[in-house]
Amino acid sequence: MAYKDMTVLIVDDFLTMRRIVRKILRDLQFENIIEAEDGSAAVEVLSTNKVDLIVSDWNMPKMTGIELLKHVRSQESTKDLPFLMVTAEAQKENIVEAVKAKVSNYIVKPFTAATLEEKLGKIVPK
Amino acid sequence: METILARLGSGVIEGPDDLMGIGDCLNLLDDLEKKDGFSQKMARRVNELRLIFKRLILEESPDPAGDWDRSRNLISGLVNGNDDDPGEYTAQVQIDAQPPPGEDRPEIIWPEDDMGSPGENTDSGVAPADSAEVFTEQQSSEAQDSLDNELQDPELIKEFIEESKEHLASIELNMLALETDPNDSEAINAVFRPFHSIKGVAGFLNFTEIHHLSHEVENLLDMARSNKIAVDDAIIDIVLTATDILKVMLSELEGDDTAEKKMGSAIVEQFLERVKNFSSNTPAVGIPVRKVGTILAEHGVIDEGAADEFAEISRNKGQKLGETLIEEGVASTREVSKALREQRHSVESAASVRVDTRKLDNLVDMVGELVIAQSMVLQNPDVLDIKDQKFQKDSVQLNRITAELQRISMSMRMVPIKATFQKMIRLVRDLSKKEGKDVNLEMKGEDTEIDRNMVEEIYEPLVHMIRNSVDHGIELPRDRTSAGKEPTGTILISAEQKGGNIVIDIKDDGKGLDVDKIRAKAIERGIISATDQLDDKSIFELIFHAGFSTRDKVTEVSGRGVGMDVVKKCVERLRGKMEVTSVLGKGSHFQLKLPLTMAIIDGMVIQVGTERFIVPTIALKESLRPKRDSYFTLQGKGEMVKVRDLLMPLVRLHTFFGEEPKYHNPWEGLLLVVNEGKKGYCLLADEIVGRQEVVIKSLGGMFRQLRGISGGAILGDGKVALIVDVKGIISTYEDSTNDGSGRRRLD
Repeated sequence: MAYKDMTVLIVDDFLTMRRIVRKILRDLQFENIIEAEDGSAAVEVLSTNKVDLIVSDWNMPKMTGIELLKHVRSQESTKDLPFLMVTAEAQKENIVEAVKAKVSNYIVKPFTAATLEEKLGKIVPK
Repeated sequence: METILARLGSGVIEGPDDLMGIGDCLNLLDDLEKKDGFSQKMARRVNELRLIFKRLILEESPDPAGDWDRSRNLISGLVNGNDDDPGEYTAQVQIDAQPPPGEDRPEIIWPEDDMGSPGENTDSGVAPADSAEVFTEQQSSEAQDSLDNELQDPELIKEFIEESKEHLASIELNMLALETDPNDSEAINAVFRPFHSIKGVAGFLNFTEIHHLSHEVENLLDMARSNKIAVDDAIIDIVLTATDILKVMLSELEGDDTAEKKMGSAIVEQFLERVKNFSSNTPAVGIPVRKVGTILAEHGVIDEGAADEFAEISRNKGQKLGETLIEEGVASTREVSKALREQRHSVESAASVRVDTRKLDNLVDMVGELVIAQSMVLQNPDVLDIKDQKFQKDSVQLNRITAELQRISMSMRMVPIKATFQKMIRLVRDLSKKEGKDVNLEMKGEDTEIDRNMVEEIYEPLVHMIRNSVDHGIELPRDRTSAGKEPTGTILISAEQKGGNIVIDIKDDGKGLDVDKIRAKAIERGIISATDQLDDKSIFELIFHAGFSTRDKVTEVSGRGVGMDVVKKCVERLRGKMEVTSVLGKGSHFQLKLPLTMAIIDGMVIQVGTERFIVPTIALKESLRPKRDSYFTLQGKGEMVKVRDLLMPLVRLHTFFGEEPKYHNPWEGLLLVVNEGKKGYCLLADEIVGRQEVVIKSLGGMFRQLRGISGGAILGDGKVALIVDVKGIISTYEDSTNDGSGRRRLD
């Protein structure tokens, strides 16, 4: 599927961060972008929308990225959904935990469009 | 065991990039370890696999192709129960070196086409060894450079500034929660998150200084989060300072894109240095955790001395103790994991249940209602007539239970005042340094407990009084020496519970309050007239008057635009009392008397006409019935009563509340003596009905403006009584008598 036909869900509690990720995704020709401000909002989006890719922050109030990931993987309809976790370098130690929870891949902040494209190449065959 | 191995064997990891495949494999390894028949040999393979996978996941492997190869061999060894020793493999050492000779490694059993060639995997796409570089400083700043053009969008920056400010504002609030309960992980998280988010975005937008600062603070908070350091006042101070600096940085960004550098870089550098030193020097504290070594020693797996030795080895290797022990074959994985479980358990059992404070407040409210409902039932005339012995006994029992229930529910909201006191240490240190004074802060009764709602409220008054003592009380060392005192001044802050009150004393051995100076200043400021006759105590009280300051210059220490009047208002809002005594040249003594909780007051129930009112006991000095000849009317001052040697105005409560009283004459009724402002007043009531603890009910928005009433309460018989606001009544009285009387208002 071409990026422009995919629906991507950005999950981050920080509005500016969502804007930045949205901008970078647009540069990669993504057109259908939905935003959610934390894990629980994302769950709601997932229940009503068909999403092809999740780009989620790790550290969020209410429901964290890892909790969202576990939820996504526990649902039959989304258990194979490409899930890209955005982390900070300081959190790298926790990435093994995310891998065990079956994250598709992760990306460290700050990243460029090129890095994101490379990571997406690994998890969503273009 | 067999099924797991079969799944492990058939599980396909597509390459070092296939994190989901690696994840599956890691989970299977976890399962495998728990099974019976999990041997030492398997443990070595599993542990090495874990290390390799971790390197691959984190893109930190110096030789991904070799690691990848090795992982497949290890898996096949596990699956086929290959008895060959897994051998040593040290990819860390062999950077850029050829893979180890194939003969030393077990045969690769899986068909090549199932797994894909490892060589192909690393050659295709980006080699993980390269992408590992993304983490280095240089690379990430290059990444930022290329972002500059795309992301330096004024709209985005504006949004970032606004959002960041919003988040920073929440930090101070959460710091307060942390001060009350330093282990409140929810609050640590809530403080951590804004720094984390700001750091993330600042990285994208290439605001290096903001990025750097928030990064350091984030690290610090992360350590606090994982219990590596305890949240104490030093950390709180650092976080608050960082918040302030960030706010300034953001404001400067707002004005001008290039302004960031203007914020004294030196200050930031200095601050960062402080944070770094702090993080590296602070020993691990927090909840005492039993060491894994100790637990293993208790289990008889190893002896304590050996545990220490291995701990040393593991530290040098940068491993966890458990990892070393398994590697060395000293303990089995099972033994280590059992010890780890026990360790976790011991941490958990030391913890307590955290409850939403609103729930707690509700509980306390409901218990209050229960106590009232109970007395409504027991004081019902029909019930009172019951003479049955058993009933009498049972109702006494019921009383005891509800009283205990009330005590317990109140105590759940109580926290030691220690945290608040401890924050004063730093304050005193900072202030005395700034003022060039030597001050020693002593504390007593830090374990005294106080309602958690009160803790937040008394912080500010305390800070101000301490400021005041350092600034105005303690003299400079040379002045102290020439006055024949120790050069180091002492401030004693103590708390104790007395009845239903908490009494906080702040004593200093400074120069004391100068009665003549205060008097002169008060006359100069027009607070009193030169003819007013005041005793020392009343003169001391003048320092609580708005706008009063005996210092000509506003100093940085005390002069923050708030005076002791603010302290007093604060204390009064808490239904507390404040007193000051002082001996010139010897020191001052401030005393705060506060109720233990804001939900319940100890009240005197009085009768005025047909209504009953509650007067907070803390406001009362005494009650008396005057002699007929001590009552008289003064020209221009209205009705007065002479209590011992003092003349006090008579305030008729029945007039105030529009009631028809039983007694018009003060010598027939009852006088309640209260102190307000700098003098005493006599409130005239018909009689005192009794003394009772009541649960305060707010009257709701409609009656908020009502003067002289601060709330309502339900009495034992189920009737509602209003709680008298003494201050409001006195100021209303003063307003009405001063109209046209030409007399200076005192408050």
